[in-house]
Amino acid sequence: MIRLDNVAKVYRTARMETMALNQIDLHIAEGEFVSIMGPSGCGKSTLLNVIGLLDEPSEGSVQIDGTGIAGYSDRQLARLRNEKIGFIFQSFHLVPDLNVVSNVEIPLLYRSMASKERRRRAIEALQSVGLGSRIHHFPNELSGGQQQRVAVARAIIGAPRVILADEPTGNLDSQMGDEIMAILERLNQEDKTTVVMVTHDAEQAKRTARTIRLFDGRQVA
Amino acid sequence: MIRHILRLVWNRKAGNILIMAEITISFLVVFLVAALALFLFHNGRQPMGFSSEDLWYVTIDAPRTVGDEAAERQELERQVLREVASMDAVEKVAVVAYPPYVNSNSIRGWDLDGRALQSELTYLSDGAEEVLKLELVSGRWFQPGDEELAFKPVLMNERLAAEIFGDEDPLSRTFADPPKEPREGYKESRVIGVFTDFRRNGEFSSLDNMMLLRRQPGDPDRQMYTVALRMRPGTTAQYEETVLERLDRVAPSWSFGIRSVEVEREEYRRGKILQVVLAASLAGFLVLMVALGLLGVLWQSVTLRTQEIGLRRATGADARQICLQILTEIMVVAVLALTVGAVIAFQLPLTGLLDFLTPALTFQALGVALAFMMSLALICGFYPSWLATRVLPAEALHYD
Ligand SMILES: Nc1ncnc2c1ncn2[C@@H]1O[C@H](COP(=O)(O)OP(=O)(O)OP(=O)(O)O)[C@@H](O)[C@H]1O
Ligand SMILES: [Mg+2]
Repeated sequence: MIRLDNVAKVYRTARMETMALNQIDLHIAEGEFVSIMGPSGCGKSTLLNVIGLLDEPSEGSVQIDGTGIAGYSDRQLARLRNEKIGFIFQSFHLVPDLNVVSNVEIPLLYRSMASKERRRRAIEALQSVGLGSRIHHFPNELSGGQQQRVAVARAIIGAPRVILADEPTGNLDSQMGDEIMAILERLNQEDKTTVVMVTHDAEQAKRTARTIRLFDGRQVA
Repeated sequence: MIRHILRLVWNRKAGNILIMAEITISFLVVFLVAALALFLFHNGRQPMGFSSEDLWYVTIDAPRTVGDEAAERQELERQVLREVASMDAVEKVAVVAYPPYVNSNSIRGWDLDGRALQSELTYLSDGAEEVLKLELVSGRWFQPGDEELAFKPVLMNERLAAEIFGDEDPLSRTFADPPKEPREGYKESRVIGVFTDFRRNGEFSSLDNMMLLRRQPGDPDRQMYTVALRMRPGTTAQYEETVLERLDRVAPSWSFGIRSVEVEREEYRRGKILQVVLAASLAGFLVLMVALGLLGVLWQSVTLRTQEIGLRRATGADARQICLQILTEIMVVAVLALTVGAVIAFQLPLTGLLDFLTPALTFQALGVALAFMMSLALICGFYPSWLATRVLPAEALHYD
């Protein structure tokens, strides 16, 4: 499903050069639930962004679902992200000026679809994360756990084959974190969605089939 | 998508209201300046009806006398006219009670079949049409012997004739109801001719009704204060002294002044243009301030929304779609603000404060101001929209 060959990512600023990723070879099969662990600054988010086509690697090649993305235009990349990938972030990244259901609809805005159908799917996605009764609330009217569930609904509304979650429970207490973990596990088991999750929590990592460990930009396990 | 954008704009109404107010106010200012400029432009394209070139006028300051005491004044008035007519450089002279650019006028209002009418009026002596170079459309000018007529002869400009008589022939028609109580010596007024126009205040003045009445020099009741002179082409300003010296000799107890209409016209025109330039610069300055403010607010709103933009990019928006979304949001705000502005602009003529605002002018100025403000919004919106496309999603989503 996801294939990285000899990927490196270098950030150059005026003062210094950071090797955020170094010689990463990675293969994640369809339907896998993989966690990524490592100390802060070791390149976990960078790796997720490269997999999610938000950032281009400085070296090496990336394949998603069998397609290499080298030479893809901005438009083609955006389309791939829209169709194949759902993102979940530590800080939710909900649009504060939109209510829950409008937030969830966002990925479908970039597909041609009747607005009724968008709304229907958004409500369905919200119901599947247990928020069917909160669709007209605004993000600031929800708890952190509820906000993250909205973000999960947004990630799954487009029925992506891959979900990339960057510390999805990092801002939540353990009970709410468990709820999110449970949803991700359900998606992985029932829908065979490939899930790649960055986490600092060893307990969570144990619940995944495989853990990738990074250190200083390198894959150490 | 457009529904989504409308929802966004609506939910951000608190932040957008300031931008809207700015756009509405600048729109109204642009509208007023455009209306003023269009008004002057349209007027400028209409004929003045007279020729200001080589046209001078003499002002007379004499003690006021009427009726039986007036005999001496009446004689002096005729002598003054004869004296001026005899000068080499003068082609023709006549009484013109309110010459061009003189800052006083006479307005007459009356009723005709219950309709309230109003017109400016000027008194002319026989032959004044040749001094002013007025253009006759139909009928005739005043002529010697008109005092014997059983009615009071009147000429009208085309505008007034059309207002009173529409498509009908105005000649020989009367246009005022007779007085309720019969007055001694009352003569009903009748139209003897129609002329194109006599726009005393020059090419930028509004198109108004004008009516000419006859007044010969030496009138017992109505004193002569101004005389118009048609000079031979090429007469220089030095000749003004000669005219004054010779008039002093004819009537030493009176005092005379002399002015060139062409000079007055130039001064008046400069004044008017200055007015427009001032109004336009003021408006331009305001619009510039607003444009910069707008740019700032829009720029800020984009920088405050980098997370949202990054999120949209992550979920499948390409750079072009982001640019289009931001631009559409700005245009939606602009359209709302301009709708409010247009509604206000339509009320302005009703207030009666701006008497030059005709419906046609309102529409034209509205069109100009709308086009101008839409372009301004588009230009101001372009930079922030472009900026939004430069947001790197990975970085935008990195921080809280
Ligand atoms: N846009 C950028 N410009 C420069 N350096 C960057 C940029 N993004 C990340 N880095 C650097 O790359 C390295 C890896 O960053 P990354 O965010 O991937 O770490 P991380 O493992 O996700 O850390 P954390 O656990 O704190 O989230 C860090 O040293 C970071 O400073
Ligand atoms: Mg990180």
